[in-house]
Formats: sequence, structure tokens, C-alpha cells
Amino acid sequence: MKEMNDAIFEPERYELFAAPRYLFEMDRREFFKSLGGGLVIALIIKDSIAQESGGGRAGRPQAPQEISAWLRIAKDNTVTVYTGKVEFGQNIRTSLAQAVSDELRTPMSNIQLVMGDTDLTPFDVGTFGSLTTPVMSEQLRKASAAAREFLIDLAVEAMKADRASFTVADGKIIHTAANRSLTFGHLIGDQMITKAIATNVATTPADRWTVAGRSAPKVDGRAFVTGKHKYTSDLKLEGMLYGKVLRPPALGATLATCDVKEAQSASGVTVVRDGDFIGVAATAPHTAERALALIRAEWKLTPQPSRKEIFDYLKKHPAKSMEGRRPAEPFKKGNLEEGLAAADKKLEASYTINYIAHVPLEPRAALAHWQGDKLTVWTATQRPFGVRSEIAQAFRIPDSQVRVIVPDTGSGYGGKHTGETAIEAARLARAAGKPVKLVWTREEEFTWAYFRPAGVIDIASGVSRDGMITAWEFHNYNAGASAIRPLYDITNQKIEFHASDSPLRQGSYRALAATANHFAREMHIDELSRALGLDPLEFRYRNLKDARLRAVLAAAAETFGWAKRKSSQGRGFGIAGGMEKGSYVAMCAEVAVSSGRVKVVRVTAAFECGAVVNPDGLKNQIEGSIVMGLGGALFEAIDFENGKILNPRLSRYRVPRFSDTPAIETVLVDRKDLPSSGAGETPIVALAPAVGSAIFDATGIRLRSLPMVPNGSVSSR
Amino acid sequence: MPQLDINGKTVAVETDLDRSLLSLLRDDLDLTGSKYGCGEGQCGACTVLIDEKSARSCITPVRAALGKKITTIEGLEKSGRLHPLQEAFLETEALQCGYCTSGMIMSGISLLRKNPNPPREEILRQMEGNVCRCGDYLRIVAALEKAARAIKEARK
Amino acid sequence: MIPRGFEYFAPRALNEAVSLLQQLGPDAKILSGGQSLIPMMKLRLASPPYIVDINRIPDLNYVSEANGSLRIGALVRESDLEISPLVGSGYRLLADTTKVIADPLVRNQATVCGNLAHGDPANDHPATMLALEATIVAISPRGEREISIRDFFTGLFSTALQPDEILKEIRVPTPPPRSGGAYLKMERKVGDYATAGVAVQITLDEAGVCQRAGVGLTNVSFIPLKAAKVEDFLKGKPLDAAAIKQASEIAAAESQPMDDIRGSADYKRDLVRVLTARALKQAIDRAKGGA
Repeated sequence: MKEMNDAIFEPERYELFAAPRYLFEMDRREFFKSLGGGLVIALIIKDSIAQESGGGRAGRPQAPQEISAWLRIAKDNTVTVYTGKVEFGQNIRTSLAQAVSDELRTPMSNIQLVMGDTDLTPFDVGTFGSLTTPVMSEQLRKASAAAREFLIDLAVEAMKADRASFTVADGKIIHTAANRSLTFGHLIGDQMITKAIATNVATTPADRWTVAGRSAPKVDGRAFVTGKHKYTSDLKLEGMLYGKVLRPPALGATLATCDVKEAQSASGVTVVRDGDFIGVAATAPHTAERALALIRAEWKLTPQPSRKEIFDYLKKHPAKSMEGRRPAEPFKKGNLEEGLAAADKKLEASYTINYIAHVPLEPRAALAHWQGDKLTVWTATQRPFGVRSEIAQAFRIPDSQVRVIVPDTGSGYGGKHTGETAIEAARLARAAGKPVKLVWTREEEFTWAYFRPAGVIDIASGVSRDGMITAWEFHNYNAGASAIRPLYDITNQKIEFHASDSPLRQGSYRALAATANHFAREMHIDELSRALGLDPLEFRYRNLKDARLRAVLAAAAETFGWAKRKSSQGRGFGIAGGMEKGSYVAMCAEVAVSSGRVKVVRVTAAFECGAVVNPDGLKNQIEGSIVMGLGGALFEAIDFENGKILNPRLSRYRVPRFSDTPAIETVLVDRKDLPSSGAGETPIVALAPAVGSAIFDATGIRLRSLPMVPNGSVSSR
Repeated sequence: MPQLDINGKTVAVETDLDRSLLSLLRDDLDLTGSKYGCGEGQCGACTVLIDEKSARSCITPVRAALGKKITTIEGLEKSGRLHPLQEAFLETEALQCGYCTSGMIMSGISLLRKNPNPPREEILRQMEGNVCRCGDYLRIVAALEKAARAIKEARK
Repeated sequence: MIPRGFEYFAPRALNEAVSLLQQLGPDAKILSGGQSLIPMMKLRLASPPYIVDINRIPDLNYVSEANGSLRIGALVRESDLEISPLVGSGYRLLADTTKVIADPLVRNQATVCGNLAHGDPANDHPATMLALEATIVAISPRGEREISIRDFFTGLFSTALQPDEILKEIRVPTPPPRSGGAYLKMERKVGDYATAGVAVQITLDEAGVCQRAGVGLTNVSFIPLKAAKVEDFLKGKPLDAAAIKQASEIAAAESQPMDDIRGSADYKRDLVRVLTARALKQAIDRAKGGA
């Protein structure tokens, strides 16, 4: 549990600590809810992570917190599973259904998941931190196993037969000797049974899984390829209006004067001014846009640091926002001075990381509908319950008056934890007295969401002639603390995270700071090995006892043909590895550099996350991490000046495209003896250092800043 | 009254003709399969076919589409049967969040009409105008290759 | 974002379009493929009060060879050129260029003539047409006139077209035997403007001596650049490795790039050098009948 709490309280989830953007006046009212009939199994979890939910303002959910999952089996044999997790493309709707199918011995087609609906699903802290597979999947297995055993009890009673004579398969309880079977639905009949179970339920070990552990097609894939799936931005309600919000010209600007008269006089337009919030709602999107253009507002700007000075700024400005919080103690081991004194070679290097944006292809969106004092909001967020609290707080109403529903979403990558779009839509809807849909433009998404933190990482190290690292001093300014400690066996270490005052709003991103820390660490290891004339893989082996990391390094090297590589001017090979969220990754990369232009030709990834649940789904996540990682590694960077984002558009902010994609091989190291850990994030951490190592191999140029080739070229820097 | 031919149906247009075709499809006609991703013709999520050729509906004014044959993702399924490229997307799991999928499929169909047997290089080049943030590019290429084979088989 | 309001006209005949332009004056903008103009309007980088859409005018979509030149009508899309066998076999430089413009979604709609009329030195066709010595046919109430491509580009986003003129046709002289051309560009990503681009068109005599040379440069100046010094240097010379090397250095010197997000001026100059050498080699191979 300790590790899990850390995952939730990771200091770099800054967006969860920020003060609410809006606070509105609102009445109080009670709200009730109910569940349907059939057999309901609720899983009670003591010491649940849910009870300590999410820090900051996430708290006070109304749902019974000790229940972390429930499922319902109806008379018609359908199994409805309720989970507060949400689907963002990581394919958990499928993998969780696989787990349930496995334990309940019932076909996938009978199983339906209700996800991320605060009225129907159990409280959940949020879909992040790669916790769905290790935690939720296991909990659903327990609930399913308990349901299965209870159904056997019912069969024992119905047939008055010995419990041991029953098996469960294909959604039926089967008496093998008598060749008689009863469907789940038949056993339940018209009863309404609610059972609460504890967590001490035995589940099927991975080596006996029959559904999980194999690839399964996306459960509702057809809706996506036919365009029928409704994302938040596709929803429509009777009488719905379209919202727009007036944005300040720069971050941190405050409203000086505002004239909304002209906009107000436009027909069918509702204008809202509440503090610094100004927005409109109208019957058509273009009407709303035109009305917004009629508002005259003057803003007071505050001078702010710009991109060109950011790294210096971050080092010189410790975080004010972290004051009063638990200070990050530096990690110390051995004696750094002695380690450095014992070194034959010393190396000091500084690595920098630019802010980048998530760029989910579906921008933030929300549809808000008030019925009396009860608000329902459909919105794309990774934290439905957290956002429910944010909304309740903004309108000063109890959580129970707010229902948040999250339709399967057009991706998030850690970028959709907060609820500002939902609050804005709800504010407009309350004023208009009609449902309001608000879809952020790409420019708003780029400017008013939050970014992966920029940072500086300084490393000083020492190494002996025979290739043993004797000293390791690592200072991370603002990039974040995830995976800050090396798995390498280094006797003398000092590792410190320094939170800084960030000029841009920063928050979670796929794998958080693990990407920055791995980039700096693995690039530095690469530098050390090449300075010693040692093979980078061999150098790692000398300093690494961790069997799981060694195993993925070996698997990647083997498949890639690391030993047989032939570097030349313009063609280079690199390797990197690491661990994050309990999953291990190693990558080998081949790059071609011609006229300074870098093309990543081939990437081989070896990945180990315990027992594999859905091999093809997992491969898809690894491939996706590699492609997404290429952007931050090579060319993505947010450019900003004095509170203005200068490249808030896809024509100015380059994301990876078809032609950027390398050939990809993935090797899954399936450890059925180990619990499954999450996989959506970790693979991304090894990509940048593997590519950086390969660029050095090809050109002799050591690139220590992410992105490494912002202009598309090594020599143009 | 101006009319549009969308998925084989004639639709009367009673709106400002300077609006984008994308907004008309999504907001007025409930054809929400075409997506908004950037609004400036960079991501391809809004791709439709205009007279059989792929086009970005977010930068196509409604009036530019008058009198032309428009096909959206919703118009591909014929009496319950998916287009071979839709099938191929499912078979190769060429999607994660699915938000880019309809644009990818429309661009892919335009490409396969131009070149029923495109080599991999050609696919990469011709699909360059569509962005998938989940990074499923290689699977989308595989889906296109699979669909090309299926179409060829069906013609035999 | 939707564009600011404007008045829209969709003439059905060329003369109607021309007289509209005359009435509306210099603030009117012609809409053909809309792949530059519409995004600019949506982002409010351009807000023309009048739009004259020429898409409904018949008989402007043709690619044909007549009287010693290739004729490209005002409504020919880039994708039309891409699949034209005539262009693919006889006008390799043009075929090269078309293939690397923006992305296929843009090429399906964007017109070749629009690419020139925009007067953007970052566009690709200007350099190519400069290398090919194309002629522009413009139509106005005063009738048709021909403009040499040398005189066509007059400044950043400005051309020799008068406010009441429409670019009706591009004429590209049919290359004589033993001709070859190539277009190479470096871009940060497909769809981005060129960091730099080079268009080369040459004709050799039987002995391999250069008879004619055209060289255009993309996005290394405010006005699309015809590299006249390189052309002069090449003419009358056997095109061996030394000549190619020297020509590429002259091209680099002749370019006038600026520092920007795509790279430093020095880097771009070096790119021009590398690309010129490569394009020349390819053009020579093609002139000699190679690929």
C-alpha cells in the first residue's frame, strides 16, 4: 500500500493542488440514487486507497467509499460491472472485461462495463498512475470470483447436490455427472440479492487464466470505426446551447474593464459575467463565436518569465506553492566525496527539459445540464469524482447534487485530470436555463490546460577505470521526482528534487517526470560508458544487479541485434532502460542522420509488467508510447513569452506523424509469477535516451536538451 | 434553397454558407463521426470525401461543397456490411482512443481509390495529413495493406 | 473560429469574375482551392471583405500540351498533376514538386495556380516555375496578357497581377530532348513549409554540355528567387563533379535566407548548397535518360 499512496501523492501532480479557478454561489439540495435488481456483489476494501483519496480538493465523495467495485448479474445473464475508472484509449474496457470473464467463466459478450459515472459507479480516485490493471483488475476479479462462488451456492441449494460436483463455464453452473446446467440468470430469477464481500477472496492465478493473457478485440470497436461512438464533444441534448468562454490575452491576466452590452443584445444569446469568468451561450456555435467577438474587455497583464530564460529561472526560483508541504528530503547513501575521490574519471553535465503539451486529439469538452438544483455533466476527465468535487466546490453545493459522466474519451495522456471545462459549461448552463455544450478549441487546449513540467537536471558522477560508478549526485529542478533514483548499484549517492516556481501551469503527463529523469540518467550513463570506451550495455550490466531490468535489457539487445550493430558516420545505435510504476522497459534505437536531419529508423522495446493481461493491447500501448515519446524526444516544445503561448496550434507545434514512425519490434517478457502492473505509461521513459544515445553514436554530437532536434536537424542548433 | 448531397441523400441547407462543412455535419445534421481536432487543416480528424477525394471539412466552407457528392464515415456501411478498411481497422486493432479513426479511414479510402495497391512508402506519404496521438501509425498502415488485399480478393 | 464576415460571389463565367474584380477593387480575394486562404481567414490572419470564388467557372480544369507548352488551367488541383501521365513522363521537375507540397489532403483541393498567385516565397511552385521559365496568362477586362515568370513575383505575397486580373493559366515550355529536372526540399515535417528547397531544370547537348539551365530557390528570400548566377555559370559547361560543386556553392551564396524557427541563415545556406548539388545530379541523370 505504501507504494500506491506514493503514486497518488506524487508531488508533480501539481494540477491537483492548484486553487479552484472559479467559485460560484449555489443552493443546497439532497440527492438520492439506487441500484437495479438481480445479484449485486459489492467489494468492501479496508484501508482502501479510495479512503485517502487524491489530496487537495478531491475529497468528500458521497458514495460509500469502502466499496471499491460492484457488479450486477441480471436475470437475462448479463453482467454489468461498475467501475469509476474511465476509458481513454488505453483499452481497459476490454482488459477489465477479460478479467471478469475469466473469473466468472462467462463469455465477454455477456459483460458490460459502466465506467466513470459518479451516480452509478463506486468512488474512484482517478484513472492515472498506471493503477487500473494492478488494482482495479484485481478487485474486479475478487468480486467476480465471489459472485461465481455464490452462484455455486445457489446451485447447491437448487439441486441439493454436493458442492464439489459443480463446475462453472460459459455463464452456467454445471453439474458434470448429471450433465445438467443452470444459467446464472435462472439461478438468480426474480430475487434481489445484495452481497458485500471482503477482499480475502481467492482469485485465479495467471497461469490458469483462459480469457485474460490472450489478445482480445476491442469490445466496442465497431462503434469507433463507424463513427457512431459518442464522445463528449458529440453529445446533444434537446434545446442545447453552445458555449464559448472569453480568454484573456495572456496567462495570469486579470480583468480590468468589460463591456458585454452589445453581445447581450444579440438575439438568442446568454452572456455570463461572474468575477473574471466571461462566457456566452447561443443556439449555434457560430452565433456564440460572433457574440463573443462583440465583448469588449481590457485585461491587466503581469510580466512573466519567457522560454529563453526558463532553465535559469527554474533553478533560481524555489516553489512558493510547495511551502508548508512536506519538503523533499535528499536521498543520501554512502559518501559522495569519497566516491568522487575514488573515481578515475569524473563527469558533470546538465540536462534540460522543455514544457510540452499533451495534445489529446479530442480537446476538452463538457455538456452540462441542470434539472432543478441537480447538475449532470458529461465531460472528458480522468478523475470523474475529483471533478465532481471541483464542480460542487465551485457552485457551493454538495457533491451529491452533481453527477459526472465520462463517455469513452478521445485520449488524455495525463492531461485531463481537472474540471475547468465542466465548470465553465455548468456556469453557462445555469445562467441560460438550458443545457450547454462547451468544446475547447485547439488553441484553448494548448493554452488553458496544463503542461508537462520543464526542468533542469544536473548530474555529477565518478567512475573507476574498470567501469564501476563510484559516485552519483543528481539534482532535479522542477522536472519532478518520479523515478528519480537509479536502479544501478552505486555506493555513494545524493539525489535531490527541487520544486520550482513554474511560470506555466504544469501537471501530470504520461509517466510524469520518469521521462525526464530517465533521459538525464540514461544519457549520462551513456556518456560515461562511451567516455570509457565500454559498450553501453556492458557498462550497465557491470553496475546493475536488478534481475528484472537486466532481463529486459538482454531481451531488447537480443532481438535488436545489439551485438552485431555496425555504426558509421550518419548511422548510430543507442540503448536505454529503466523502471517506473513497477514495470521494466529497455529500448534499442537505430537512427540515420543525413544533412543533419534525424530519422529514427528502428526501435526495439522489451517490456515486463508482471503477468500480461492482453498481449496485443499491451503491444499497442508500447508502440503508442514510442511514437508519442518521439515527439517529446525530438521536436515538441511549448514556446512562450511573457504569459503568451506562441505556438498554440498544430501548424506551429509539431507532433509525430506517419513518416516519423520507426519500424517497431516489441518483446513482451511475460512473468505469470508476478502480479500485473500498469503499462500505459512506462514504455515512454526509455525512448528519448535510447534515441539520444544513437544520435551521439551517429554524429558524435551529445544532445542534452529535450527536445533534441527542435528544428528537425542536429546541425541547425 | 441550396442543397448538399451527403451519403447519397439530398439535404436542404438553411444556414450561413460560410460556416465550415464540419460544423454543418456535426451540429446541424448529427453526423458526428467527423471530428474537430485543430480547425486549421492540420490533423485530418475532420476528413470526408468530396467527389470521392479526401478533403478537410473544417476548412471547407459549406458553399464549396454545394452540388458535390459528400461521403462521411457514416456513409460507408452498406446494408450492415462494413467497408473492407473498417473491417481491417478492427482486425489489426488500429485504434486506441478512436478519435482519429474516422478521418484515417476516409483518407485511407481516398488513397485506395487512387492506388488500389499502394506500396508502404506511398501509404506513409499519402496519410501524412492525418494525426494519431495514440501513435497507432504502423497499425493503420497494416490495416490499409490488409484492406487493399481484401478489395483485390473481392474483385477476383 | 469562424472567419469575420465577408461578401461572397460565385461567378459562373470568367468574364463575370473579371468584371466583379473590377467593381470590388483591390480588397477582393480570389478563392480557388482554399487551402491557404481559408485557414488564414479562420485564424483571422486575413479578413478580406469580398471573396470571389472561381470554382463554379467551367473549363478551367485542364492539363494539356499545345503549341510547345504544357498548359495548366486555374482550377487544376495539385492531385490532378500528381496523377497526370503527361506531367509524370515529360515534366519530372513539376511532378517532383507536386508530390512534396503540403500533404495529400491539401493536394486534393489546392490549385497549382493558387500556389503561384499567393506570392509566397515559401510555396514550392514558384521556384519550380522559375526554373522552368513558365509563362503566366492573366485575364482582365482589358483582355488576356502573358507575363514572364521572371517578372511575376514582385514582393512578399505580391505579384504582377493587377487587382482586376485573374491567373487563368500557367504555360510551361515543353522541354527539348536531353532535358531533365528535379525538385528537392528539406522540411521539418511533411506539411510544413520548406526550410529550403531547390528546383533545377537543365538541357544538355549530345556531348553532355549544358545548353540551358534554370534554377529556382524556395524560402530563402522574401521574393521567390531565380538563381541567375548559377544558371549563367552552368550554361556552356560540361556538367562534371567540379562544376556541380562550384554551382552549388554559387547557389548558396546567391540565397538570402534569414534566421527563423526553421534554422539559422548559415544552416539554410548550407542546405541550399547540399540540395543544389543533389538536384543537379538527379537532373543530369534524368537528362541522360536515367531515373
